[in-house]
Amino acid sequence: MARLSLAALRERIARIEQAGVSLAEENKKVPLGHTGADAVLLGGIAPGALHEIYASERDSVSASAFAAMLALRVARPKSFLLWVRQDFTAHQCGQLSAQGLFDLGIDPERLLLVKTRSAAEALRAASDAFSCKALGAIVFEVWRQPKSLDLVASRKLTLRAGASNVTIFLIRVAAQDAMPSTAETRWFVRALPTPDFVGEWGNPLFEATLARNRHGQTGAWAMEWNCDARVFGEIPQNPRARLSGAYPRPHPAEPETPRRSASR
Amino acid sequence: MRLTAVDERAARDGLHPGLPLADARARVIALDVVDADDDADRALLEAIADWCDRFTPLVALHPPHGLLLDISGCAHLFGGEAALMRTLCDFVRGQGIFVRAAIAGTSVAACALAKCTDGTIVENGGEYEAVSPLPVSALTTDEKIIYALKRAGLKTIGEVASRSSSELTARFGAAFAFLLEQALGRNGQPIVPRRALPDYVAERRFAEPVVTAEVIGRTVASLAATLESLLEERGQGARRLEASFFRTDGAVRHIALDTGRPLRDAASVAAYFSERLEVLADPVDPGFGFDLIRLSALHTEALEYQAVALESREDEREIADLIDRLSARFGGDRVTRFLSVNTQVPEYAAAFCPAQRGAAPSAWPQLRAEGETPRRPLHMLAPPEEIENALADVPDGPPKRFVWRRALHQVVKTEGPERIAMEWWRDAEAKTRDYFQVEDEDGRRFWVYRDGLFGRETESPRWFMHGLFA
Repeated sequence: MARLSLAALRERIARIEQAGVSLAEENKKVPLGHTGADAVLLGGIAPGALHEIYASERDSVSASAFAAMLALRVARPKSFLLWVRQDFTAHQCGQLSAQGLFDLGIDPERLLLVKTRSAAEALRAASDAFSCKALGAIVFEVWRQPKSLDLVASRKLTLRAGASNVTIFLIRVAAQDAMPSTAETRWFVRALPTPDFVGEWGNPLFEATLARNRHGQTGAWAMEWNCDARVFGEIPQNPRARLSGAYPRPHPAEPETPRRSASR
Repeated sequence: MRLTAVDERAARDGLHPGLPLADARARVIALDVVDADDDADRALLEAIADWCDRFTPLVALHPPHGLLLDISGCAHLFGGEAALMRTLCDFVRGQGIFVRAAIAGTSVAACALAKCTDGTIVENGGEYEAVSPLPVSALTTDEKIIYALKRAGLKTIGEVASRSSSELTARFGAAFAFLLEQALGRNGQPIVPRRALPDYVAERRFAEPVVTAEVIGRTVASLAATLESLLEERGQGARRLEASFFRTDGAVRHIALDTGRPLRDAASVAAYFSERLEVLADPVDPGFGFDLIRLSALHTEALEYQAVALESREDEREIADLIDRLSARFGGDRVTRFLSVNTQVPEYAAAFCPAQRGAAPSAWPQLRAEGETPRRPLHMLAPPEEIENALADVPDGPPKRFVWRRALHQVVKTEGPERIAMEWWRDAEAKTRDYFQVEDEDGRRFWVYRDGLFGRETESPRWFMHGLFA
């Protein structure tokens, strides 16, 4: 893990030293720690924007974790995280566990959970929360494709996020296909099998497909979350064998070709 | 079956409560009989009591069909005691309810007078003369005592009072002697109000009932401003507020609001109430309009005025404001934070507690050593779901494959077991669990457990899915 954070730091310094990237721009984006993803995202996740994370029903826990991790990266230290969740999601996928969050490196003390009855209520809670600039980030989890969450709602969320500089992560579990939206980025997330050489039990692994990026390229990466350094990283390469051809695999719900630049 | 109550016409025909139903039917052929409904009676009494809140905050129920109002210091607001009693009786009578009232220095005296001489207002110290001629049945409903007094030839309260107090105590008990004292205007006891006395109250009466939401909203805002200045004088902030809407037809609606910190800022109070009013499942219906709107601070705490200089302080204030706003809209129990519970049983280890209830920071156990992977799943199923066809190589080993939610999972990697003993003081029947972290061929990680130690606690262990790891 020390190696990873060092790599992240080196990457950061290298980018600061680049003439093309201004310091203001650098301050703005928050690096994930994963070199490939940060390069494509031109420095990292943009704060004060809407980011979407899609996952199938079976991968809902990966989506929750991925969103929580992105939120943790974006949030200022010691700031609060607001998590808006429908009762139905908790019923279907399980409740958020405080100890589980703690083990991932996220402080449960700094998390506010709003449980809502319907998606419309959840949308209302998430939109209301933007008035609080002290929030580090908002995680907004919806199930399937509620009617209330259309293009207009998405545009409103984007505008409010931009105005308040609070980042919002919209988790869409079990959505049939990508809905039109004004999101800054759109991710498809699923769990990744631990490679055999990693040993018995490794860090949380994700296959994250960046299907849409309003200001840059797209891509797909295998990522590892480091629970101590609280940073993403590359999956350690097998020192002996070649990388197996198993990933990255395209997501079944992925409608676009992964390499296309989607700057609609 | 006996009659419990009779109306005016039935009383004229000679019927009275306590009469057997068969007798009553024999006396009056065309008798309308309705089943007694104590709950409905009580609800009606409560509704009238709610309405009476407009006169004084101290209203007590006096079952089965009495109300006690403490009007000390309130009467002058309604044009004096006589005018207050007239207003109250006229309104209740207007609703088709038979009413008798009396005003006296003690509640017992007022009750006795209301039963016998409707409309009496006793001057201070005049209870003895006013109550003396009343029959003893006005004083108590205890049939035995009434009978015994009659046998002794004591028909009026005055005659009873002429006996010495020690005699009465010896014969009827201290409670009766005490009751008599109070009836005669001595030893007045405060009534027990049905609603907690608010700390601060601001209210507005309207000559013409108000109907529109706009006026109602502005009224609440101006009442909040009045309340703010009241609270500010004493350095207090409200933790629990209540808006009461008194409709012209007598219906009263109370809307309560909790706050996460002592609050007196009028703009915030008004904003929270407008949030709350907007989302009520059954909205406040003005009907023909409200003639009184009241805002009370039911529970207050000291609030020191603090300069908001530090950034963190400002942040905390903003978060508290957000919590209050969301709680006002969605309900306090829906805006939660985690509370650590000191137990090893995973499902009880964390509780959701209303975020408004500012608790001390929880200490979360460090289950995971540095460099290790998470020991507890991010999503926990409540309750754990049984998994089928769990197949283990050895009886106390991890499962090799299992079916959960109709899908077969082939286990590729496992970690564990972590043995967790249940707490016998919670459930003596609960078995020890062996938890395994398992990963299937798609890389999904689960937290499963075997319920019971093989061989010792169970012969055919059942397997459960308890959580999902990222």
